[in-house]
Order: sequence, then C-alpha cells, then structure tokens
Amino acid sequence: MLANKSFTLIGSGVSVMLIAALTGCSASGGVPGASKGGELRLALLGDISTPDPDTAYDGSELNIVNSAYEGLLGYVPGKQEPELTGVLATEWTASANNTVFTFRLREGVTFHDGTPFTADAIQSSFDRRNAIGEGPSYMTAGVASVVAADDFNVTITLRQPNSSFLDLLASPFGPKMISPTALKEHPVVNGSEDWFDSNDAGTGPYTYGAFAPGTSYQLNAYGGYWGDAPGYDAVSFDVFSNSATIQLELQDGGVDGLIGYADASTFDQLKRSDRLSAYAFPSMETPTMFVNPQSPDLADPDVRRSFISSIDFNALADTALADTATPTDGVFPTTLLPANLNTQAITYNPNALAQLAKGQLAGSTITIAYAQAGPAAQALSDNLAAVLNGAGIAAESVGYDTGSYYAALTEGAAAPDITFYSGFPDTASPEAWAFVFYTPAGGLDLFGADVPGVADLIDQATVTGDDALYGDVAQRVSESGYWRSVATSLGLAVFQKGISGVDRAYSPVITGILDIALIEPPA
Amino acid sequence: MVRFAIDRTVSAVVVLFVLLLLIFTVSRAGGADPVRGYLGANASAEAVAAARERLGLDQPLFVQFGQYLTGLTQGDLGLSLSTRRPVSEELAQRIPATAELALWAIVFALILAVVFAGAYSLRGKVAAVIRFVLFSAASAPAFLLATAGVLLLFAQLGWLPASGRTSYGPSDGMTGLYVLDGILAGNPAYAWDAFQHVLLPALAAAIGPGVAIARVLADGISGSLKSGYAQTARSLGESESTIVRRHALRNASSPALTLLGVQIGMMLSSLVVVEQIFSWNGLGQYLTSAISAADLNAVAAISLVLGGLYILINTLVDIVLAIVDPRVRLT
Repeated sequence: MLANKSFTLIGSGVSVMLIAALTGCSASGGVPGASKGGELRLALLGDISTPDPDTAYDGSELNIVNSAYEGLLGYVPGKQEPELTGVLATEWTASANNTVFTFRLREGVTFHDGTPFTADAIQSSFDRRNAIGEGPSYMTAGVASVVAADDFNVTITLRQPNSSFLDLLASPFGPKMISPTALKEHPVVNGSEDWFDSNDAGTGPYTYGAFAPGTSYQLNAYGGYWGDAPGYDAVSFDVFSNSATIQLELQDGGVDGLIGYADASTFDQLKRSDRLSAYAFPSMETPTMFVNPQSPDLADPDVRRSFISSIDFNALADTALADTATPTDGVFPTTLLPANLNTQAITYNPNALAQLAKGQLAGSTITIAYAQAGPAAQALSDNLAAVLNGAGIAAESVGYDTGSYYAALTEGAAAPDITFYSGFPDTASPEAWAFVFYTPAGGLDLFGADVPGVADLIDQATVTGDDALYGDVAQRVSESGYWRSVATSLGLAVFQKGISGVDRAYSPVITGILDIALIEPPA
Repeated sequence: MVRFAIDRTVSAVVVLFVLLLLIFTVSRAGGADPVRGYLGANASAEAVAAARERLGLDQPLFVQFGQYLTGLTQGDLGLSLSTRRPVSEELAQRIPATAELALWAIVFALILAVVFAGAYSLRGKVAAVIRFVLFSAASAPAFLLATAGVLLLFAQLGWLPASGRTSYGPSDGMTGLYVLDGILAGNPAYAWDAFQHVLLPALAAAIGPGVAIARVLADGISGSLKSGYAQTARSLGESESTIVRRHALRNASSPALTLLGVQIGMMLSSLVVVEQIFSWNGLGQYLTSAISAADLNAVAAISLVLGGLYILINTLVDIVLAIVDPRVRLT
C-alpha cells in the first residue's frame, strides 16, 4: 500500500512538474544563457581535442590555444595578403642562405604564471614540441641551436636552409612560447594525462578557465597582458552536436557567434537574418579535385587530361559553393604565388565532355568520394556527379566518415576515381602547400600521385624561396591532371549584430580561426 | 536466486566479450583509420606512420584485442583518439548525463503508459481520435518528435531550451544528475532549470515506448475485466476501481513489464539520436563522434557500458516480474 501511495505521489509530482514546465514561462527564457556583459559565447560544432599548444593541429581548439599562447611571429589579422608581424619578437633578420635567424624579443611580457618572458623560453618551448613529436613538430625539428646573446636577443640556426622558417614561426599552428617554469613542473610524459590539456602557461590575452569537456570551454582575460586588453572579459565556447540547433540559437540570441562550419545554404539563411551579421573572409583554403592515378578509367594520361579539360570548374564552383568560395584558375592558393606563375596548364574545352561520354568513358562509372565532415567537398562531389550524369557518363558521389575516408583512398585501383578535398597550407608559404599536397611524403597527396621531378623542385625552392621554381611545380602538377584546384574558400563567421572587430580578426591562412581578442561587445 | 545471479553474470560476460570482438573485427575490417583525425589533417606521412606505431595500431588485430582486454582488466580503457583524453575520464563525464536522461525518459514513459492506457480504454469518437493520435505518435521516430519539439517549444513558443543540460554551467554535485544535484544542494533554481532542459529530450525518447506499453497494458486490462475472476469479484460486490487495481492491473502488468525491458533497450538506442539533436553531452553524443572518427577505444567502451546496462535492465525487469507475478520463476 505504501509502495502504491509512493508511486502515486511520485507520479503526481512529476506530472505537476511536467505540466508546469510546459505551460509556464521558463524562468531562464528557455535559452541556455545569452551572453551577459563581458562574456562572449561562441558555438562549437562538435567537441574539440585537448587544447595543447604542441598537439593542436586541426579544428576549433586552435581558437582556444591561440587566445592563450603566442609565438615569436604572426600574420597581421584581417588582411588577405599575408604580412609577417612581430608578436613576441619585435625585430628579426634572416641570413642570405636562410639558415641563421636573429630575433629581438619583446620586453615587459609575462607568462600567465608570472614568469617573465625571456630568451630562455624559446629553447624549452621548442624542446617540448620536438619531444611530443606530433603533427606540427616538423616546424621546430630542423632547429640546430638557439643561442641567446642576452635575455632579449636570440639567434636560431637551422640544420638545413629553409626559406619558409619565418612563416612556420608565424603559422597559426606554429611553435608557441611556454613558461619555462611550467615546463619544468610539468614535463612531457607519454601515456599519461598532460597538465597542458586543461591548463595554460602562455602569454596571450586570455587564460584557460573552467573546461567541461564535451560541454563548454571558458577563457578569461589575462590582466597582465602586454598588449591591448581583449574585447571581452570572458569567452565561452559551447559545444553543440548539430548545426541546426546552432542556427536556432543564433537567431534566438542564445549564442553570440559561430566561426566556420556553415554550408552554402545555411550561410545564406543566416545572412538574411535581421539580427545577425554574416562575414565571409578570404583564406588559403582551396577545395581541390584529386584524381586516382590507378583509376581504371582515368589512369591514361590523355583521358585524364581530357577529363580535366571537360569540366567547367568555375561554373562548378559557382553552383556548388555559391557565396562560400570564389572560383580559382590558380594551382597554389592565390596569395601564395604571383598570378603569372600560378596558372593551370589544362584549360576548359566545352566539347570534351560529350566526346568522353561517347568515347573513352562510355560505359564507365566514375566514383567521386568526399569526407562527410566537409560541406564544400560534398557539394562539389554531388554537383560534379550531376554534371557527369547529365552528360551521359555514369557517376556516383559517395560520402565517407572521417575515420574511413583516408583509408578508402589508399586502395589503389579499387579506390574511388576522384575525390574532392578542401585543404589549406600550414602557413603562408608555397612550400607548405606543395609539400603536403604534391608529394607522397606530404600527407595529403591523397591518392599518392607522384609526378617525376616535383619533389626535387620543391626541395630546391625550400632552400632558396625562389617563386619561379614553385611556378614550375604549378605547371607540372596541373599538366599531370592528378590535381585541379577549384576554388578559394571563404572563412565564414556569423555574429550577433553590433558585435564588432570580427572583420579585423580573420587569419589570412586558414578558415575557422579568428583573433578572438579583437572581437568587441556592442557599444 | 543465487543461481539466477550467477547465470546472468556469466552470460553477461560472454555477451560483452562477443560484443567487443565484433566491434574490433568490424571496425578493422572496414578499414577505419583514426590516426589522421588524431594527428590533424595536414600531418605528414611520416608523422602518421610514427603515431600508428606508437598507438599500437600497426599490430595485428588479435594483438590489439589482447592488449585492450589486458588494459580492461586493469581498469584502463585506453586513450580516446578523437578527444585525446582518457576514455575513462570521458565516460565519467558522460555516463551521468545519459543516466539522467534515461531515468527521466523511463519515468515519463511509465506515466505516459498509464495515461495513454486510460485513453485507449475510452469509447466513442473522441477516444478513436485520441487512439489515432497516440498511434501516430508511437509511429514517429524519436528524432522526428525531438525535431518537432525543438521547432515548436523552443523556436516558436520559447518555452523550453533546445540544447545542453543547464543554463548555469556543469553541476559539481555528487551524483552528476543535475536535477537531483540541484535539489540536494538546496538550489531549486538550478534543479528547475535542469528539469526544463531534460524535459524535451526525455519526452522525445519516452513517447514511443509509452504508447507501446500503454497498448499492451490497455489490452491486458480489457481482457482481465472480461475474465471469470473479474465477474466473480463483481458478484462479490467489489467496486470497479478495486477490481482494476487489485486484479486487472496486476494481471496486465506482466506483459507490460516484459515489454518495458524491450522498450528501454530501444530507448537507449534512440538516446543516441536524441542526444545529438539536443547537444546533450552523454554517451550517445560521444558515440556518434567516436564512430565518425574511428575512435575504437571509445566505441568499445561505450558499447560495453550500454550493453551491460541493457543486460542489467532486463535482469531487473525479470526480477520485478517474478515479484509482481508469482507464476513467473527466475531461471
């Protein structure tokens, strides 16, 4: 009897709460906390990896890392043409052979733990990156010595000449200066939880605050920052698992901003909202078509080149990407090489597609792959499949989740014939693009295509920095028909109207990254 | 009872072992590779190869499986490659979130089942309309109910939140169940806010099972009320409500409880989608991102938890069934 009564009471209680919650106005207005005063609330689509300055090599965690850590150099934010600027270095020189670099360091800078920033921090910061040895460690792996003349004058010598070294230091993924005190207290220990997963010891305008992995990540303004105080006292990155909810929250004022991730139609919808400001920034991200060298249908060089010439890539980019990208006739990202050196060798032939449909590709089925995480690649794949099917060449667009995508492309003749991938260089250097995409050792030469002589040309150009050599690379890779750059992606951001500084905060290199400290609340 | 517990434990271990083996085999046979996602897209081929070796992913499948089992016996669930945090740490954050959502969904499903059973028992045109609506609601998948709920109750009416577990930041309470933590901490505003957040996702997950259980319950009650013992009870002067409470409901509850076990299993599956829609930081959301990133350690651990939970719930249902219906014996 008691059990029956208890059940009835609990049931009644829950029912009352249910009815009250559904019929009463919610105390919080039904919105999970719109920003108040000095807090900027940004939406993250999906959780991030741990924001460690020496492992963060992809994704939104970089917005957090780069708010708390700084390197010696950077790029002037908000400018399309990449321009080096001093961050923790105020002056720098490079030797004629690109091997010896000197730096005058900024004085009066303190790490968040109170340690003064001096030349000591450089060697220990580089050492940590090398000891961890992950993706971005190659940026410091070539350093032979770091010699401090005094606390604020340093000479870095490389083992091999590298004309891109200053750009590597300025990269959004570049080496960050970390407090030597913190590095001593928290050495690199493989296989255990790292203190740097949720704490920071940088010099940036923000410090790491409360982290609730999978839910939210908080930054707090650093009172001892050497530069201008950041626009907001605090920044919260709130994790959402679907873009539709972010869209609703943006329109409802539940979040203040979204950086990146929108597809063309979503961006168009957000752009039309009266209460939102939508931004599209130039970047070096370049959606590119890769052709499988072992494709049964496209392995023949003449067929492959004819196929490349048969596609109106400008029209394809316009249709598939709309306002989220601009078509390109370049091979490298447009701001990396002078236009006269950065041209496609294969030009559009309006008659080629019909000839292929009747000839070499009659009866063939072209499989076009994309990774589902990338809206640009999917849009291009779907639209190219439609173009080919419309011309009488059977084609299918196939999406892969991230974990399966790269492996699927290594299956030789059984792999898809084509894939679209929207990639970016690590930094504003032609070498950073060419090595990664056009050499099998680079990592994003997705089908492992290898054009004779290209790797040697890139090696030579890395030493000298000669743009003409990169121009030769552009000619050879575009002639091969293994790659076709399609467009320049625009970095997208949507913020509540009145929030300022967003247009001055974008990175000239990659999308999805803003200088958060430059964003300011409405006046 | 002891024999029952031993049998169930042994079968649970076997089932979970087979589950793990299947996960390892299927994920590796599918060619999924988590290293690129772990390192970052631009990582060089050399860096990818080194990481694969360091993580042991270059080892044969049976070696990886053996290493995983060895770690498991020591309480080490490995590193989550999609987040770079230990899987055990991720689970500790997310199990309470899913548990809270599942518990509220079960409570709502039971309440809805009783209410809907009443609606099913009604007669007339209005009752027919109610039954049609309920049948339609039961046919709608959880994601559709969730999406409709968000559009109506958040976007249009602004009554309920559409994402997250609270407006006030994560609870530092002892249970990780935010409503309960709010109550235990004497913070009714926190508890109320957390309840508002859980309401829509829990209802989206509860409506289908609620209607399904209601139909079985209503049919059972209807059948019981026409039975000989109900007629006898009436002839002895017992009131209709007493007959329903003492005889019909008890007899009808047996199949309803059996169905509850099945429905809770299905509800756990639907939570994966519901958590995704409501950005609910639970196991379902974690599973979705882990599958996409081929984060095998995470997928295996979540499957173990959900599989274990499913077995536990069905065992509990069997026990409750034996208590409610003396004709049932635990075997």
